[in-house]
Amino acid sequence: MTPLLEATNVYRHFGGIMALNGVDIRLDPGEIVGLIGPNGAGKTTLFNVLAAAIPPSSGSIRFQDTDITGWPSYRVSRLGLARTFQITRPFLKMTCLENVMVGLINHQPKEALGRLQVLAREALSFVGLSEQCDTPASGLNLIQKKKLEIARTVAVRPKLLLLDEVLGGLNSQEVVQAVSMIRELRTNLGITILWIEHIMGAIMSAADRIVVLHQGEKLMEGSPETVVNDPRVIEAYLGN
Amino acid sequence: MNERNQLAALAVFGLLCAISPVFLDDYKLHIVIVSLFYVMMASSWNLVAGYTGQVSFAHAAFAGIGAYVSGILAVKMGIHPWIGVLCGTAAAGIFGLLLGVLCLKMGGIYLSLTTLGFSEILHIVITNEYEVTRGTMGLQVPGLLEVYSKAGYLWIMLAAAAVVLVVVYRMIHSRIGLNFRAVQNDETAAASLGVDVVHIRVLAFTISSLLAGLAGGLFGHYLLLITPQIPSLDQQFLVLSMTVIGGMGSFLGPVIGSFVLKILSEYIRAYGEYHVLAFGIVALIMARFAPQGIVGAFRKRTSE
Repeated sequence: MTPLLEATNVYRHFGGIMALNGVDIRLDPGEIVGLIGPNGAGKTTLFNVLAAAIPPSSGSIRFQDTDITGWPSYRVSRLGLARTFQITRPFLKMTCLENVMVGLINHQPKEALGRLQVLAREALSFVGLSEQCDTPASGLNLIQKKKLEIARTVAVRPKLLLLDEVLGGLNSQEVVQAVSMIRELRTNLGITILWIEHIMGAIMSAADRIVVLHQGEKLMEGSPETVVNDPRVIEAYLGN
Repeated sequence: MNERNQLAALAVFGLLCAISPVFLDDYKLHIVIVSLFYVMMASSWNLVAGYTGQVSFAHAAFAGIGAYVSGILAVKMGIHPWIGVLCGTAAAGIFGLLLGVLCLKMGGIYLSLTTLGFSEILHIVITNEYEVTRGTMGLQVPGLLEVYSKAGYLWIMLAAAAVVLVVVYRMIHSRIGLNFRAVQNDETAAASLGVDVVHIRVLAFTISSLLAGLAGGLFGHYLLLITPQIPSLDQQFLVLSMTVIGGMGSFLGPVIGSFVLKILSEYIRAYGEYHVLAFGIVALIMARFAPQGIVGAFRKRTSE
């Protein structure tokens, strides 16, 4: 099977700091892969490089059959690679519906606006924001903003979704709901997911495979059980 | 006041302007004509500053390009002013596109600085190229009408202002307008959703420059004398004040701001240089009590 995404030997430094130090990562279609690691391990930097928000210092990234290394992020997005932001970035002065429409009009420029609005409403109701369609995003609370973030990306039916700590700030009941929603993204919409998360219970239960980053390098990868029991992982998190 | 009422009010106001030659004398008609010039300037500047968040200081400069290209074509080559105005509009659009491609990748403060520089350079070139532009003496140009008539010019400016407003309205209510606002709200998020941010900025900037060129071209042939005052920073800041005081990022704001400030400036003109001070005070009061401009203050009152 050809991988959906394959990043090879990715380096990224900021001045003298090596944020990514030769990372390889490969995602197959339909997988849910967890990306974990202690603070400063380079998880968000890897996301930014994969979503083309910043270019890698060296290395290559292939998405399906296309080499997307160095592409601008809007082209990567139109190809079907979506991402959410760790700190949500809604368009505050626009309504929720308009927020979702922005992605749709750029992914389907030839489709009629009426049809796109139907899709936008579907996406908002999928995340449970149907009541808030005409509310400006500035009027949403944190959880609703996170939901909006997911609605925006899901509306355009990406092939790959990069989720950056979408569960942060949620209580345990909300976490359960959110995890089942993320599972639905795969089963109902066929979206492959790469997911950064600090809530271990949640990510271990939902992910097929876990990749552990530590100090800009891939420490290991494997099934959730092997990862949590690996002494190197425990050491990376807790020290000796 | 909802959107439909706003448009209805605007239409009524336009109609009132159209029949104003019946009840206004020539001096007051002149004020209306000049205000209509500012309506075009402020509304098109608002397209860039209010809807995409790019503060350009070259808007008066683009009006100057429109006026001088049209004027020089008429004086040196005997080209009819109507065709000249079209050439001036196109020239302003082309300059806008070139400047946009050059500096809009940077955006933000860099765009402001580059356009400020461009504006000053153009002003200096026009002032010093005496042979072509007649410098500060001003270039005498033929009028648009065979027989001079205030009412005739009023209708021309009114029609042109209507065209500008229709273009702006249609843009902000289309897919492009949604992209404009996304870019203004959050460029990074917009790009992550597939918005080509640089393309959108260049598009807004080019259209806006084009409309400024149209306004400048028509205005020059109304004044019959084109001076470096048109592409000056004074003009630029007046257009900026009109937009901000009227309500930046709203459709009606620049229209209201243009008329209010133009009429106000006629009243305080008697105080000579102190009128700058008066404008400053108005701007300060607005910034303190109605940061969203006249339109914003009105909206707040009606929603409470």
